[in-house]
Amino acid sequence: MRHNDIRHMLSEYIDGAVTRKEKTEIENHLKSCTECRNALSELKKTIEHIKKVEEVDSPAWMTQKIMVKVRAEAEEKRSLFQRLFYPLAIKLPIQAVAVLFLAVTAFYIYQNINPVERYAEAPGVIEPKKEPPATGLTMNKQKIERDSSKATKQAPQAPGYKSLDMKYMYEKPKLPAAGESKPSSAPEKSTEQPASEKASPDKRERLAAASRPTAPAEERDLIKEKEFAARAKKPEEVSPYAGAVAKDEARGKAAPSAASAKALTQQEKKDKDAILIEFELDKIISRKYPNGIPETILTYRVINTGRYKIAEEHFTKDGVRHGIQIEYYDSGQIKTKASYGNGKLEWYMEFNPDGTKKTEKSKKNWIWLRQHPQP
Amino acid sequence: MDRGTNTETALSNKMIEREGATTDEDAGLVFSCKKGDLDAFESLVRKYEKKMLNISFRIAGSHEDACEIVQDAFVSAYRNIKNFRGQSRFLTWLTAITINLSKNRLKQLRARRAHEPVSMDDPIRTDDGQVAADPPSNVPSVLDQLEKRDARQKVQDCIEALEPDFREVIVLRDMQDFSYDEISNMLKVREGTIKSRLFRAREAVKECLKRALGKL
Repeated sequence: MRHNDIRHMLSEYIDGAVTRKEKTEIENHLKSCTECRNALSELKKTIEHIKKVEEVDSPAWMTQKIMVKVRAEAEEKRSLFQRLFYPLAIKLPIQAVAVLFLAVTAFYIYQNINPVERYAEAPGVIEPKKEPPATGLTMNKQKIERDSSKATKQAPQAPGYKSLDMKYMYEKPKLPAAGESKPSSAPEKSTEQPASEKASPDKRERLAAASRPTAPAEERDLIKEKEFAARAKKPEEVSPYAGAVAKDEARGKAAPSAASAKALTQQEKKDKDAILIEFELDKIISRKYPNGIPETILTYRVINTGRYKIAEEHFTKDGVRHGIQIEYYDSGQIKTKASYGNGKLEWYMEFNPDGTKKTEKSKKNWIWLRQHPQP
Repeated sequence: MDRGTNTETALSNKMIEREGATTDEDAGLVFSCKKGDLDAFESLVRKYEKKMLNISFRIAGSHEDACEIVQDAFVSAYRNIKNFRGQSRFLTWLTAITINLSKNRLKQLRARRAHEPVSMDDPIRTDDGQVAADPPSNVPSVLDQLEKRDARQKVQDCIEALEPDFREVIVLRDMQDFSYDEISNMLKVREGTIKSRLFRAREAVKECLKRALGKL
């Protein structure tokens, strides 16, 4: 190492921050170099002077003042923490109430979407299995279905009447007072006659005839109400559905009245017709109470010359649904069996077309999803 | 000063530093502080407030400022003690906080002084850390004034005359006996730079004292 290097390392040398080799070299150099020896001596004296500088004392209040500030800081931290997280004693009840509230809300929501409830409450809506694209037709159809369900709800044979299925297909059956249904149905038929132009009179007779043998012998007071949905040219005559709507002024907005139906576009009329003429229903009150309220109502589907019993409904003398209600497949196999006690659904069973009981939970709307049989 | 003793002290300091947190005598107190024990923190305050005050005082130059800086340093340390991972001694960590606050305060003071007339009572600081010659004036020169003060005050003045970067290494090494490694950690500069700065700072103080005292 050169003189200058050693001269610069004297500071480190004093602190012992040099390697053993450097130390040896420096010490050897110091023996021969007076300048470096003097420099070293001066440096040491300087450091001594520096070390002799007296320390200042901290004021007596220093600790206290620092701790006051620190405690304030800690308090601030804690209060912020408390704001975010209450102590367990407060936090727990709040959380418990919140959880309970959520659970109750969830339960009610679940109840509302429960298929059983749907079955009991939902209007009988027939929808094709394959969802058509969202066209004007779909929209109209949905509207019709909604409106017709209202119509059936508002026009039961008796208070609280609810048909099991297929409601939109038929006009509300008139309250069949004993002996008056025949005359009352006669004018209806006459008004329907033009509406059912496309269904030939011969066919209708055949259908009526076919219905008699299938009607059981125990029908004591058989009053038959035929409701044919028919293709019609005029909107007023489109169907009993349209007639029912026309009568119901309160729903003038929701469902097109006879007058407002005129305003419907041609496409809409076609759409409506297309849905309504798909098949026909035959409704038979097979039993009646003395006060004229139907006790048992049988519903048939009439397709060409075939009659298929599709529902059997029972009511109390007050017109409330009561007893075992049955829906049938076209094959005659029982589709659903439901028991009502004074209007409330008590239980129900669902069966496959082959007669086996459905074990799994019904999927949403399965009961209403049925493919229309091709006439 | 005995050279051998000095060397041994420095080496032991280095060894302690290398062993790190395991040899930190304050580890227990720090652990309690992290759990929110204010008494433990008070113990640390009592233990180190004087040391921090002296470091701050030598760097910032004002006792009043130093008192405020030390308070702020401890509050800052309390606020951040959960982030202290024990990779160095608590004292090293606390000193680093104090030095940073002191340097910040010094910058503020200098910025303020820049707009004020130069005081003739203080030595004129230059970039190389030397005390500059007083500009011609009727009042006595800085050196003349230094002579009138006692030797300790003169040493102090000479240290104060250094640039902050040089002053802090003198304070930390010669006054507070921190090792090179610790100083390097505190100031976040390489150890070689610390050695170089320390050499220059000592030389500057030596020259200043030679002029102030006439001889060493």
